[in-house]
Amino acid sequence: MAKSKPHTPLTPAVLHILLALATEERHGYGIMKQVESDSQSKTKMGPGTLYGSISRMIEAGLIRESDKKIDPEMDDERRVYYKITGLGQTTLAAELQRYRDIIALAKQKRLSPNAFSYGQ
Amino acid sequence: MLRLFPKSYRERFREPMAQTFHDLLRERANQGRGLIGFTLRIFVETFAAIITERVAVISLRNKNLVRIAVGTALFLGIPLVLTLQGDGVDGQGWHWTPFDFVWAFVVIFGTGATYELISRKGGTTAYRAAVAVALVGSFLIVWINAAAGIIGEPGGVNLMYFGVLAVGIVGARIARLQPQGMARALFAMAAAQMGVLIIALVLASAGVIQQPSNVVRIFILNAVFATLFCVSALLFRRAR
Repeated sequence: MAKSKPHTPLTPAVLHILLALATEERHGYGIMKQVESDSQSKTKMGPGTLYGSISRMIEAGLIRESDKKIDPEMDDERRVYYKITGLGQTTLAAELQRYRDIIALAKQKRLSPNAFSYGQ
Repeated sequence: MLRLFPKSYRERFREPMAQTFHDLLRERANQGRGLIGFTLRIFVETFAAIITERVAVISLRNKNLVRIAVGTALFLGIPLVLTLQGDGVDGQGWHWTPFDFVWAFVVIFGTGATYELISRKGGTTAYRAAVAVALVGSFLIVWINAAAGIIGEPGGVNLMYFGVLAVGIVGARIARLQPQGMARALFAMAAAQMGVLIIALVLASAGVIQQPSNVVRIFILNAVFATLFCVSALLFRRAR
């Protein structure tokens, strides 16, 4: 059953999947490739991790299965697509705001990577 | 290897996972890269996911069973307090014996655990409601029979009501918990429920057993149970 309010912080896998689905619905392989691209290959997930995360995200109401359709860039097999829900968008926005707040705090404390100094 | 995932997970994700595996293999082959290391990595990663999903299912089920056990124990705190406070005779009214507490725990926990184990099979609200109604009816038959008897005193002809429960258990087994089969099993339970009353009245009129004192009350009680089983059956019919 879907929960009604955003629950942050998110795991890296969940965050990247939400980012991958933020602009368009995708199938599993498409999500994997988008995550790899978004993270500049720093985050790679296999099918086991991907679908485990998808399963939990569907249960949490963050994403849902969309219609089965053919990917014109691949073969002619019909594939299950996944789509972000309203709760998923809200959760993603809350998580990104959390990151912005943390970065603002780090800058305030002069902890940004290019200006690391103690008490200066 | 996909068959090792829990059933509900497998039914939902088998096809997409298989497609993704093939997509990854095709990508790897198109890039001219080796497949052995890749296959091994995918095997290990998938095996880890299988264990994760299996443990999640078991721990969720165990967590719910623990909750049911704790809830039952807390609920039985009420008769415990009444028993400790009262000066009554053991086994009468709210003065329970230790055996009464054990029996009550087994019946209440057993009902809750049965609901937990069966209701997940259906996955729809109608299915879960149907299971709940059937179990409420079954629980009340057992409880009322043990406490006061439905037809006369506990025991004797009341033992036939366990046959009603047996009809449900056998019917559920034959139906493999599928909704349409469960509907038929519950209708059979309703018929068996009224059948027990008819048999008791026939035996009473033949002098085999003592004539029940309040036939109208007994009829109404049986009709309530039969109605519960019919409601459950109709809910199972709605469940897909």
